[in-house]
Parts: sequence; C-alpha cells; structure tokens
Amino acid sequence: MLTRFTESQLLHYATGSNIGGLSALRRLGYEPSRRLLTIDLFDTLLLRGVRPETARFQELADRLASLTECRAQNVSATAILEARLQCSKLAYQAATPVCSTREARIQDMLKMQLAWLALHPDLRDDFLNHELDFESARLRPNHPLVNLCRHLMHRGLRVAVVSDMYLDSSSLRRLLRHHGLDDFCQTVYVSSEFGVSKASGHLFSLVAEREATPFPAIAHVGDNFRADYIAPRRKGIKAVWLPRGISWRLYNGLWNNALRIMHVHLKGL
Amino acid sequence: MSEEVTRRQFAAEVLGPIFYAYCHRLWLFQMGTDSATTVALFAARGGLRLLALYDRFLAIQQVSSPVPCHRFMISRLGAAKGCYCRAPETVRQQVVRIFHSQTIGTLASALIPPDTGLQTQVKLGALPEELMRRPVSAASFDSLVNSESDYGLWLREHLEEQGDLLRNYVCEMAGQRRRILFCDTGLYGCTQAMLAAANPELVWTGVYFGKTNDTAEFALHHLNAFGLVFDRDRPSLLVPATAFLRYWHICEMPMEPPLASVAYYHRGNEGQTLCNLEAASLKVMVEKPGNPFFDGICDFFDAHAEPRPAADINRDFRLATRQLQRRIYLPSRGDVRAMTVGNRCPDFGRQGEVPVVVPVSSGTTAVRKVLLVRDALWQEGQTRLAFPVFGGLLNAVRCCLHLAADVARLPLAVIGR
Repeated sequence: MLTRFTESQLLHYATGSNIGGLSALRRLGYEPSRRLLTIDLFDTLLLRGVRPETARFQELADRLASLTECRAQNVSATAILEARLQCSKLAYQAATPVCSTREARIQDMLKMQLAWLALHPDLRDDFLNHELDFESARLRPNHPLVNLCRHLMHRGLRVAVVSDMYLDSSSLRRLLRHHGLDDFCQTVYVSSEFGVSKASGHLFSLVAEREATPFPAIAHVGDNFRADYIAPRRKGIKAVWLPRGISWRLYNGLWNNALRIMHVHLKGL
Repeated sequence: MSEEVTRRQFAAEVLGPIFYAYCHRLWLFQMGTDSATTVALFAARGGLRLLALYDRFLAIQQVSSPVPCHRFMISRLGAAKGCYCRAPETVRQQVVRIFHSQTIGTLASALIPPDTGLQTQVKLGALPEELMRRPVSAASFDSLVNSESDYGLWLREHLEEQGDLLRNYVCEMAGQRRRILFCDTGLYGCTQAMLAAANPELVWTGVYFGKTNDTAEFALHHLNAFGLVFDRDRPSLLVPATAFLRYWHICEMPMEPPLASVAYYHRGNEGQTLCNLEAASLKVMVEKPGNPFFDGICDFFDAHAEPRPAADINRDFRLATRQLQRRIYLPSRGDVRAMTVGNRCPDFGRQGEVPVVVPVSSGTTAVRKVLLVRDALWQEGQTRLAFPVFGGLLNAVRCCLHLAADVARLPLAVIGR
C-alpha cells in the first residue's frame, strides 16, 4: 500500500520527487518482456536551470548581439529577441503538416530570423553554434536517472532518446556528448526530423516501427504529462512520468508567462 | 477637409502599417515552407488586393517571394458549388452556418448564376412553396438538392459541372505542387474548409490577415489556418489587433476591388477554366483607385522607397494597432466619419446592402436608437452617432466591461496554456 502510494503519479506531481518514478522505471526495466527504453531529453535526461525558454532566448540574444557581424550592422539584442520569438511562431505554423501536426526545424527558424534581421544567411551556422554552446552551459545531467539507465543498458535493455524539439539529432548528440552521455547517442529520435511529435503519439509509432519493437515491449520516461505519459500510454507503452519539482514548474511557468505577455502579446507578435 | 481625404489619411496612418506588417509576416511565413512543393494562391476578392500589396512590399524590400504567388478566382459560393459533389458533408455544414436563420428560398436564388433573367424565375417557381419557406438546415438543404422539381434537376447538373470545372482549375493552379497557401483576408476559413475536404490530396494551409473561430466548435481546417495579424476567437482589449473583430469591415472593405463575386466557372476556348469575372481587365480593376481606404494604404506603401528594417515594421504595427483599437472602441465623431465604410453586401450570391452605421436624425426615438446600435455592424460607431452627448460615455462604459471580462478570463488562459 505504502509502495503504491510512493509510486503514485499524484505524489510525483505534488512533490516533484523522482524517487517513486525511478523505482517504477527500475521495475519496468527488469521485466523480461521489456526490450526498449525510450527517454525524453530535456528536463528528463538533461535538466535545465529555472530560467524559462523566453528568458534563455533573451540571454542568447544578448550574446549574439556581441557578434562582429551584428555589431557591424547595428543589430540590437532586443531586435534579435523579437526576431526569434516571431520567427519561432511562424516556423511552427509554416511547417508542412504531417498527420495533422507541425514540427518546426531550427534551420527554418534561423533562416527566417536572419532574413528578419537583414543579416547574411551564411551566419546560420554561427547562430546555431552559439545556441548550442549556450544550451550546453545551462544543462546538467540527471545523475540518478543516468545511473539507472546505464544499469538497465548493462542488463541488455536498448535505450533511445526521443525528444519533441526544433533542434536536429546531431545537435542533440552534441549536447549529450558535452555532458559525457556518449552512450545515449546511438539512437536519437527528434520530432523536427520526422515532422511528428511525441505529444501526438505518432513519434512513438515511428520509433516502434524503426526499432522493430512492439509497444508493450517499450517503456518510456519523461517530464511532460501529455507527451511523455498520456500519449505513450494510449499506444500501449508503459510510461513513467518524471516531472520537475512543483516549485520549479510554478516559478518557471509564471516567469515565462510574464515574459511572453511582455514580449509577445503586448508587442502583437 | 472632405470625407474622402479624411478616410485616405486615416488609412495611410493606421491601416497602412498594419497591412505592411501582414506582408512582412507573410513573406517570413513563406520562407518557412518547402519552396519546391508550395504555391501561394490569393483568393478573390480580398486576396487579390492583398497580392497587389504583397507585390509592392516585395519591391520596396527588394526581395523576392519565396514561393510562386497566383491569383485564385474563388468565393464561398463558387467553392460550395464546386466542392459539393466531392465533399457534401462539409459543404452542407458551411452552407447551414452561412445561411443561419434564413430560408431555403434565399439559398435557392443565391445558387443561381447571376444574369440568367427569366430562366431564374422559371427555376425558382418550380420549387414547392413550403420548401421555399423552410429555414436552412441540413435536412432542408438536402431536400433542395434532391428535389424532383426542374430546379432540383438543374441544381444537381450544375453542381456536377461546377465540381469538374473547379477541380480542373485547382489542378491548373497547383501544378506539381502539393501544398497550397490559401491567402485571404479571413475570417473563419470556410472556403478553405470546403476546398480542403474536396481536394484532400493537396495540403491546404490558410494564411489569413485575421482568423477567428466565432462558433468555438472544432473543425478540422482550423488546425491548418492562421491569422498573421490576429488569431483569436473573440476580441480582447489585451490584444490590440483583435479590435478588427469589433469592426471587421474596416479590414474587408478596403481589400474589396470593384468586382462581382465569383459565382460560377465555365470552360474557355482553349479548354482552360474561367470564372464569371472578366480576366483581361482584372489587374486594372484590382488596383483601380477610388476606394479611399485602399488608396490610403497604398500611400503608406508608396511613401517608403527604401527597404525597412523589421524592427521598424513591428514598431509601426504596434503603434497603429493601438491607435486602431482606440478609434474602434472609443471613437470620436470625427473617427466615425473617417472610418465609416460604404454599405456592405451580405455576399454568397445574396442580394441587398447593409449600412455599417446609420445616420440618426433628431426625431429618432430612444428605442429606435438602441435597436440601431444593437444591429449595427460597428456598434461603437453607431453609439457615437445615435447618442451625440452620452455616446462617448456609453462607449467608455462598454469598454470597461470588456476589459473586466478580458482580465477575468486571464487566469483561465494561463491554466489552458
């Protein structure tokens, strides 16, 4: 009874504790029928600081504004941030829909952002490198989860990283390597490359097909309730929800909403 | 100063920056698509002027369009006729929505191509009187299409012929490209819904000036329809551009060239599909001066010979939308004069015209004034005209109530997100 309570999703949600989730994952990984473990990347395998996305974009914009080309063209950090926010939204809308969902790609976002800023398209790689360096510096591995996954891999379970993200798989591999997670780089599925997401469930179907593994033989772990818990369970995948702490979510959510009101809604982007 | 000049000035100051920002966003949007498989079709009639503005924008910014752009001669009526045979469910749904609280008689006459004279009378007269008086619903619409009368026979033949013609036309426009960016002023995406249902092999994405789902009901096409200036289901004082939803005609009227709506298609001499509009003079008609609002918008574009930085475009957009919001919600009498567009016609083949605001004489009773405000296409403007002394105060009270409702909805929006 006590074990069931400590492993319940409600407790995870209230406390943000990983303990119950990790023991549930260990139990699933030990099951003989289990053949594949899929792991969400951001805020699951690699943890972000408390700064929300818009704040990170703001910080990144400050850094990009100091590039020689930006200084030469008088491009301000405010303009870079505005361009990023507007172009991200438009890139998601403009992406070709697959199975009624659209997934944006960083290449398209940067192409649009550079056009917005009237900068040369060749700067795309510089912008991307800065973004990846910036992301790397603000991520840290989730050691308890990493250790458990390594233990399960040692027992013969295959592991794949599955992420809903605009970055491509080579960028995600770069982030993983930066944090010494080379053993997680072998199989990486990212929504931007396939045009389908975890949230819609289609990315799980694609993973199952490519890995030639039936849904019941897969276990998935991630922090997003809809994309990492509800969607895989609908497919028959055993899912474990590993959310960030309630205080983190509250702080991150409020901060992000405040910044979005300031930068997106009030500016009519 | 004459009213024409005032209107032109208003359009240049307020509407110009907003339409310029639309063109900028459209250009960015197109850049995010796969240019090898995408084509942008600008839907008649509003889209034709949007295309003319977009061409001006590209010339000013000294850039090219990322995807090919074409004029697309279509209307809700043309789409309904041309899509019925392949997507009867969707067309029925849209027709019932458009003709809500109207009779089958109105719908039946709207479906008949214009300029058919005596023939019209004969066909309509052939319908049973009882059917003509029934309100438009899914069942009564089916009864009309399946009617055994002369009208019913003619209608079925007409729908079949229009279906073949529209399909050919869409194929001619799309060529080898599989993704269509359907560009128009807005608002609900009803034409797109019908076209997408009838041509499912193509991916239809609506790229509108403004987009709303006022019914708040789910429809598949909403997943692929976007408003670049505003995209909301109801106006909000916290999002200035949604002021257009309080007075949509200030966007739609400037974009309407002096052309009839597309009512039907026919086969040209070389086998191509043509519509009832004259193709030769189309470009001239679209850009024809005379509409002070459109002329004012063009003035704003023409005043900029040099490429403009995106930050400036967005800054001007912000200022203009706030200005527009103030003028729509709290208009002065001068604003009402400057922003009153001409009479509006109900479209979809229906006859008649509706004024946006009605001038009020001193003898008009208070009850009549209230009714005028209730039925006006721009309620705040009508309030200002109907109540010269207290109109401003009444609008301010209404504005405060809207603001309170918007603020009350904020926590819900945060939770929903």
